[in-house]
Amino acid sequence: MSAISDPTASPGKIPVKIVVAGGFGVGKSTFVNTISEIEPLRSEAMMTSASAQFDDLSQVSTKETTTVAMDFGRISLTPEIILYLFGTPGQERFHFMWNELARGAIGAVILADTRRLGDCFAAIDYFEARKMPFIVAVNPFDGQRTHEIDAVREAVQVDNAVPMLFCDARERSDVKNGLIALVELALRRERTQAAHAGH
Amino acid sequence: MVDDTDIRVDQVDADDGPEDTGRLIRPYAITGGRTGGDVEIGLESQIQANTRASQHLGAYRWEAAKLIELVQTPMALIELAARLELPVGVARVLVADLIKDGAVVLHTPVAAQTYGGLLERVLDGVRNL
Repeated sequence: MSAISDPTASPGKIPVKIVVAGGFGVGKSTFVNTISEIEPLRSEAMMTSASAQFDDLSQVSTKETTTVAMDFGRISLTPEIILYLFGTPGQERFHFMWNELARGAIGAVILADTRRLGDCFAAIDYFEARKMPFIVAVNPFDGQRTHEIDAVREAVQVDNAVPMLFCDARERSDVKNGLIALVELALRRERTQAAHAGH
Repeated sequence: MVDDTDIRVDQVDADDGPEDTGRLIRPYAITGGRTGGDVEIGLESQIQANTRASQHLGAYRWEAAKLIELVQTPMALIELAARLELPVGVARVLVADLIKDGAVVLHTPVAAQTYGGLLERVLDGVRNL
């Protein structure tokens, strides 16, 4: 590829990414925009997926074109590293596009709304199945931190090793703490794997 | 050079909504109906213009010229798509064409896990936010 030999190319910055997943209206866009250094941007992915959820059997073999909006943000972490945050719809029917989002990602911040905890199950299942690092960030709507974290953990049934924290998506420090928790987890995993590989 | 495929002009669908881009053509008409390229371009892949191409913007079709203008400094595919107000798939085909032309270059991202010490640096960076 010409990327290597082109003399006009500047030394490439290293892009890394984190997926921000969760149910509809849980605060994914807010989370991304709270910490992004660029104005809110939304990109469309138009995808055609074989549709399996029609009730009408005559339509089972038809293809469905779905337009999915992805919110994303950018943060220059160091002069060389750019972090991209992708806010992505959490419903199961969008899983076909998650594979691309998840490829090469550090991991996922899964936002949970205590009023609708079930909305984050699809995202948890997805990242659990792929053994990707993820944390659960509980967005306390209206400032109500009425659910104890332990109760939420019990309800969503994730392993104790999965970090879980309160995260008001509007608060920069909360968002930052969520990202730190995820990267720390990814790093612990990497070190564990390296230690195993060394045996 | 980008294909000189005819662009079909269609009416904007009524349900496109008021915040529609004002684009009067179907997005994939820009790509001649093609939906994929030979190179794999990830959402966060960094794209940058070749200086020579930047000096000859007139030689490119509107979308391509606009794209080249946007990537004077490297920009990720997803951001490029958003700024061009094109679906990611369409932007990806345009970029693939321009890579073939040598008008833009691609900095392929590396998987975070395979880059020694990268996560430590990411963690430092996030802590310093």
